[in-house]
Amino acid sequence: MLKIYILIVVVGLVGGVVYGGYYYYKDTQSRIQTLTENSARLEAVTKEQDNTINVLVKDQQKFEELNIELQSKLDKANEYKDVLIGKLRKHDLAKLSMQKPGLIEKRINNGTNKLFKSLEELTVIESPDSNTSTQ
Amino acid sequence: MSLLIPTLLLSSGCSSWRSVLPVEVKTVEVERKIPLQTRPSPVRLNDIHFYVVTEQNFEEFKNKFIKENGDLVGYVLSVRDYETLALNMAEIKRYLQQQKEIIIYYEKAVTPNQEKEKQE
Repeated sequence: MLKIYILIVVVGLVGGVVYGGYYYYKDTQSRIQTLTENSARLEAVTKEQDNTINVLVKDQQKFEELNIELQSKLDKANEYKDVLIGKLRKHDLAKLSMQKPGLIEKRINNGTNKLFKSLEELTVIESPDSNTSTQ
Repeated sequence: MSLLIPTLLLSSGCSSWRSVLPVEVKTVEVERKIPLQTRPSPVRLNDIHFYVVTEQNFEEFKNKFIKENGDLVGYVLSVRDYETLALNMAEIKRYLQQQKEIIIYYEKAVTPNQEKEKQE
């Protein structure tokens, strides 16, 4: 009778160990699967974040370049007026006109035509290439 | 015992059939399409002529002017006012130039990067 009890206890213990092992195995597999999925997700998110950061950095560089270019062009736009002011300061137009009216007439008419031409060129359409853009 | 099992099944519903899926939040970048407008047609300016008139060449100017325009009537500008007019025109030119550059800046700013376009 005692042997039977011992056998039942041993079978119970062995069964418990086997079930424990099986449960541990299943649980570990499940954890591994979850962690693998998480890892893949995190990898994708990291990649996406890297892409976003790269785009932001490129945009920043692009805007910096555009700002420098714009500032240079805005400064350059003052050139014509600065040169004109310099010329008017350098020469006494009234005196020169009294001395050489024909020459000054020719000069100011040429200058006026040149200014009108430059204004026309300024308003010429340069880039009709694309009609849509994205941001 | 016969009452316990149906009670448990009813109270738990179908919760044991399928595990609850986690909520996934995805942020998707949607690009705004900004159409570039066509620019206004360029200006066409007509020529004008300034006469430089002094006491010495007034008679010569008078004959030439009547021959070209019919009557001796016109608008006179002092040298100082001519200079002011020239400076005003230069100021307008500066403004046009800068305005144009700012428009070009914004057009370039809203244009997508070439690499991004290639990826798409």
